[in-house]
This record gives sequence, C-alpha cells and structure tokens, in this order.
Amino acid sequence: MEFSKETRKKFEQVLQRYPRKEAALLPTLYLAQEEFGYLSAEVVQYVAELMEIPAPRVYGVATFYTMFNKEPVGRYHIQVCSNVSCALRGVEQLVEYLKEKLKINVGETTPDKKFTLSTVECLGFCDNSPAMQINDDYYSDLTRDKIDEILEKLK
Amino acid sequence: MRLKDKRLNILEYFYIPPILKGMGITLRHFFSRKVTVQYPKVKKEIYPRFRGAHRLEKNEQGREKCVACELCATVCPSKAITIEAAESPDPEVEKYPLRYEINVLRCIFCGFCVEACPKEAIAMTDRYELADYSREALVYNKEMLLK
Amino acid sequence: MPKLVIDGREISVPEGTTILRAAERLGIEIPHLCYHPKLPPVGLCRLCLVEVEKNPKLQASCSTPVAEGMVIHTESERVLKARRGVLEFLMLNHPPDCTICDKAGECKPQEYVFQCGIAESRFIETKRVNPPQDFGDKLVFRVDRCILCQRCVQFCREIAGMEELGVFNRGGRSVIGTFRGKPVENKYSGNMIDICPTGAITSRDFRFKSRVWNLTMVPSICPRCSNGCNIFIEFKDNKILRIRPRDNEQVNQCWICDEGRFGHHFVNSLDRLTTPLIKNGGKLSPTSWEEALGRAAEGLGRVIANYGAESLGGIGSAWCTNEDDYVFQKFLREVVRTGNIDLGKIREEKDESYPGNDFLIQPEKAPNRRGAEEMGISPGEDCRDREGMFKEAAGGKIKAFLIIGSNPAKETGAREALAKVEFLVVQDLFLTDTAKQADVVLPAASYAEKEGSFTNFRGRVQWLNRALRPRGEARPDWKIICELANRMGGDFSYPGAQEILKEIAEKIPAYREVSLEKLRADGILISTK
Repeated sequence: MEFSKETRKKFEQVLQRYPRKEAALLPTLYLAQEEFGYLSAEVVQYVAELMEIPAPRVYGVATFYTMFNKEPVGRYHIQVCSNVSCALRGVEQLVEYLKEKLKINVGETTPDKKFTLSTVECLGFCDNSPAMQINDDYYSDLTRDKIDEILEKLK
Repeated sequence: MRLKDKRLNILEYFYIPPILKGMGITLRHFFSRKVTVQYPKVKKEIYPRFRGAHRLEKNEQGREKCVACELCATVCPSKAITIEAAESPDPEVEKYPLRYEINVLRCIFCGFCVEACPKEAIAMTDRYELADYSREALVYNKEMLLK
Repeated sequence: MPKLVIDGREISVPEGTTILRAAERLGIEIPHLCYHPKLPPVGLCRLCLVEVEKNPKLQASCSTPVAEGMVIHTESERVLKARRGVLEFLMLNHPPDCTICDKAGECKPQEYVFQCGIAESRFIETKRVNPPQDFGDKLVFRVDRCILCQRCVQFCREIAGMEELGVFNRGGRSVIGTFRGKPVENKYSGNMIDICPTGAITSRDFRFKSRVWNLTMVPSICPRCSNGCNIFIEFKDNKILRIRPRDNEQVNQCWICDEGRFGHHFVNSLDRLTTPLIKNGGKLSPTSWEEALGRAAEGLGRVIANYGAESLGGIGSAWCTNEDDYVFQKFLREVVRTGNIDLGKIREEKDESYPGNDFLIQPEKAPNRRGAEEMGISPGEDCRDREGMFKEAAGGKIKAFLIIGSNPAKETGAREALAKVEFLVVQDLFLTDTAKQADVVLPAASYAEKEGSFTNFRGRVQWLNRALRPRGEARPDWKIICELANRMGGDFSYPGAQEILKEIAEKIPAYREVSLEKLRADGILISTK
C-alpha cells in the first residue's frame, strides 16, 4: 500500500503549508481517503508511518471525524442531512424512499458497490432544505422526483 | 452501723411453718402448666429470625449467587469465613468463589455476614444442632453450604 | 510569588503553580480524577472545579494557574453542587460492580461518590455497552468501567514513550483502545493499573487474588535489577500477592517496571528449598540445621587443616544484602583467613531495539552488585578471582567452595571444576545446578523474608524490611554464615541485620554516614571513591 505518484506530490505540497508535520494530518487523511476510498486499518497504519505519528493517535483522529469513512463505501456516497430544517421539510420520508429505491438500510452499500446511504448532520443548506450530498456535490430542495432524476443520471 | 438480727417469733423459731409454706409452693407448681421442653424428644418452635447454621443461596441456574466480594469475610468479627475467588466458568458471571469455607467453630452466629452481603447470597437457617465428631467436619465448605 | 486565599487561608506560591497544587500545599485535597502529578494536566474529568471569586464560571483547578489576589473556595455550595453533578455524569455509564472489582477499596470514584453521598443514579436509560478489548497478558481492560480520564493514554505517550493507546470515536461513543487490537507491550505498562482511577485497567496477575483491604503492605526494594526501585510488598497469608511502587523522587518517582511488578513469583515458588540438605552416598537428603551446619563446618575445617586456608574459595552474591555479604567476607577473611573471594556472575541484559522510553531498567539483573563489591566481595591481594578460582579448582589447588546466592555451574568450565572439589557448600533459594553438586545445601531466605540493605548502581543505599516469614526452615544468609563461623572458631554474635549495618558504618569508610533511619526514609547516596 502506497500513495500514487500524483498523490505523493499533493502530499508534499500539503506538508509545505504547515509549520509542523503533525498539523498536516487531516489533509493527508483526506488524500488517503481519496486515494484508497476509505480509511482501513492498513491505510491508517501507512499514514502513521508516512507522517511519523503513532498509529493509535492517527486512528483516533480518523475515528473522531465522521467524514472519514472507516468502512468501504460505494462509488456514490449519498449523505442525507438529518437535522432540524431538513427534518421539518420531511427528509425522513425521503430517506425511506431512498431505502426503498436502493433496497438498502442507512449505513449500507448496494451489492453492486455503487451506492452507500448514510445520514449526516447539518450540511448548511437549511434555506434550501431538504438537502443531501453525493460525494462532493450538493443537492437541495429535494423531492421524490428530483431524487429519481439524480439517481438516474448516476446510473 | 451495726445490724441487729431480727428476733424470730415462736412459730419461725420452730421452722415447721416456713417448711410447710415452701412445700406449698412446690406443690402448687406440681400441678400448674409445665414450662420445661423435653429436648431432644420435643423441640421448641424456631422463630423466623433465628440465626442458625449458614446456607449459600442459589440463583435460577442453580449456581451460587455469591460473587466472592469477601464483604462477609471482611465484616466477620471472628474471622470465620475464608474465600478464594476465581474467574467463573459461567460466561455470564465474572467472579465466583472457588472455595468458600465457614469455620463454624469460630462463628459466633452474629449474622453480620448476612447483613453485609450485597447479593443476598448467604442466609442463616434454623439448624442449630451442629455437634460433630471432628473439628474438620465443622469447617463447612461450599458444597455443604449450598445444600 | 502570587499571593492568594484558598478557603480563607492565605498562601503564596511560585508563578505558574496550579490552584490544585497550591491547595495541596495547604493540605486541602480537591477531588480529581484525570489529573496526575507526573502527567501533563488535561482538564478532562471536570471534577476539580473550584469557585474563583469575581469569575462567572467555576474553574478547573488542575489546569488553572494561580494569580495575584485570587480568592478561591473549594467547598462552597456551588462547588459541591457542581462536583455532585460531574460525579453523577461520570458514573452514568460506570457499572455499579464494586463487589467484584479489584479496584474497590482504592478506587477514587468510589471514594468521592461515598463522600458526596450519592446513593442512587437518576439515569434510567441503559448503560453504554462497548465491545470488550484485549490489552495483552499483563493488563485486563474493562471498557465499561472506563471514565475516559485518559491517564493511561497520557502515560503511554509521556512516560512510557510508546503511544500504544488512543481515544477513538467521538463524544458519547468515545472509547479507549489499542490500534488493531495490538497488545500493550511497553515495559512499564503495569503502572497504568495504579494510575487508572477506576477498575478499567486491572492486573491480570493479581486478578481476584484478594480484596485490597486484606493486604499487608511492607516497604521494600525491588531486587530485579540494580536500579533499586522503591516498592511495597503486599501480602496475605505469608504470600506475596502484588508489588506496587513506593514514591521516591530520587530513584523511581512513582513508577516501577513490569518485571519488578510481576516478577515476584519466585518468592512463593513451591520449588524453594525448605530444609537443609546433605549428601549421603551421592544423594541429597533433607536434614536438620544442626546436622547440616555441623557437616559444613567439619568439611570446610578438614579442607583447611589438610590443604591450608588458600585452598578454600568463596563466592558471594549480588542478590544478597550488604549485611549478608559483609558477614560472608568477614567470615572468610577473619575466620578462614583466605582472600579467595569474588562475586557470582551477574546476568546482563540490554534490549537495544526497545522503541519506548526505558527509564528505570538497568542492564545489571541483580540488585546489589555495587554494595557487594563495597562490602569486600572481591579477591584480596595475590588471591584468585572467580575465574582464577575455578581454574585452580580444575587444577586441584582449590579444594572447597562456599557459594552463596549464585549458580556458577552454568558457566563454562565451572561445572567440571566444581565436580573436582572435595567439599562444596551452597546457600541458595532453589536447588540450582550448583546446589545439586554440593555436599551441603543450606536454604536461604529471599529478599522479602529478611532485613538488610541494597546499594543501587548509583550508590544509593536503601533498606529492605521483612515482609514474610521465611519459607520452611530457610534462614537469612548472614544468620547461616554466623552459625557456620561460630562452629569454626569465630565469634559472630549479631542479634540482627541492624547491628551488622552499624558495624558496616564503622568499618567501611564510604558507608560512615549510613544509619537505619536515613535508609528507611529515602535512602542515602554514599560518597563515591
């Protein structure tokens, strides 16, 4: 397990931005997640060795932040907001709809490894709620039809 | 101060009337209700809070309730209880007494062990005839106490 | 030096002192769980909150430095209320299983809850359940008892220098653990048993052996290496059940290594010699002290009479106390009149590849090498050292040996040399290879069963107190030597080890400052040559 040449380059750049090596841990974990899909124990071990930080501390950081995936996720990671504004606008029904449509529960991945469904805390789209995030893209003002449309595009 | 002997009157002087009086009391009790219990043929009624020989209680699975916390051994004023704890073979239970012995020769039947027990694992029975032929037989082990 | 008032009492302390430390100086104990004097304050448990006047919020006293003119209350209504609240929070997920917990009796939360008088929790939900974790052979980790004070994590990071533990997940799901279930391997991990304020980390070795209040504590010195860490021997029914560190800032602060903590089982070992043995027709058989000592004196006397005093060699021990070794060499020099004295070989071990901070363990695996040498366990002028003695024994010039507390039979050539001698007396705890070859074997008391002093590698002389009755008929080495000397024309009448210490102070210049009172306190650093 190793960073690709490209990621390696990005990593070197990240290091330049911080006064101490340890401070670059979060961006490095992001790079690792991008590269390997999720932060498995092996990835954490690799990052720890790379950054010369004890592995338990790196694992502590990785588990503290929910945006780091400790389990493998599908190609599209659907993260639905579950906070107040979205909830008031009926996000729960939409989650039910997604569950039905993808035939998985929250926290699970479809057998074809395409979609992972999870609920997250506020995405900052309260004015256009309900909202969700698929990988790095945001979708707001969700309705059943809109969800159908989005998923159709991704298929 | 000098005490003066009371002069006996003539009846007392001859002793006969006091003897008759005493005999009278004896005779009266001869016919009244008897209080002596004919132990061991007859046994007295045991009151529910009587403190006799100990018993270890069992839980629903039939194992001892005792978790070997040693509070009974700690509180025991005559140091009559010896406990050796160990990891329980039952996965549901963490600690159990591998050895639990009460030396009845030392025990003063104060009942502190029962009071100290947080698991209600030890109780006192109404058994009080504890005589035996050897000292060893009077050190009750776990199996005997669980019976 | 800022001046401040704590609970109506004035005190000035150096700049940078925390409130908790300042209160400590006044003898006021502020309850705390995560703070430990040897670890950096983290301010996690929030139990040490105190009221600082003119401050709207309560302050964590473990991490707040004092300032000029502070007025602090540690027992005010507000503080007590907050303390009860914090304690109730800390105990939310803590199981009430003190009955089976090895920590009960020396558990801080237990003490504080008792002090605060909280009898029942208002928490009606079910307690958090985290998956069990394995910390390896030395420690038992009960994750449900953990209150996340992070003392163990801090210890691994700051003291042991091997960050093996971490805090994983966040908020209410936080849990202490090892990465990928790797067992805790640092050589000082046992200290986490002591610093864990709850029963989350307990000792596997001591597990369920006894409730702590039934143990008797005797201050002593660890014999596992030449560092001389201060320890408490804790025992019940004449058996050592656990070893714990004793504070001594000069030597070990408040830590000890795992080898010292868990390496006490040799004292309770069933293989210990319990009676003297003498060889009858090539076989060792138990006998009385009277007979064994008589045989030893007669055998040694015969060799001296036939071949002269220089045909006798003595090997002293770095495992014995200064008093033992002093009497031993005095016997050889003044009664036997030989200078063939040397120290048994000491095992040296250094783990170069150890990644952590190895701050206590010394490579020399015996407690008293320096003391033994200073007591005179070294060859006299024109006399043989250990190797020389074995060479001469092999050559037939040395005819008898008196060996205490060492096992030279393992060394090359020594076994053959020992087989050749006419008479061999061995004093030891066990029937070692050397003892098996002996004509007379005398059972000796272990370090826990006698009084005496050890001199550590830096030259600090420290006192051992007797904890246990000697196993079987074993006797302290010095006592055996005295008996032997008296049977061979000497007059050794020491009532106890303390009198030998007095003689050492008189006779050995470097030890002139030594006295029992000083040794019993923090020990005394002897002047170096």
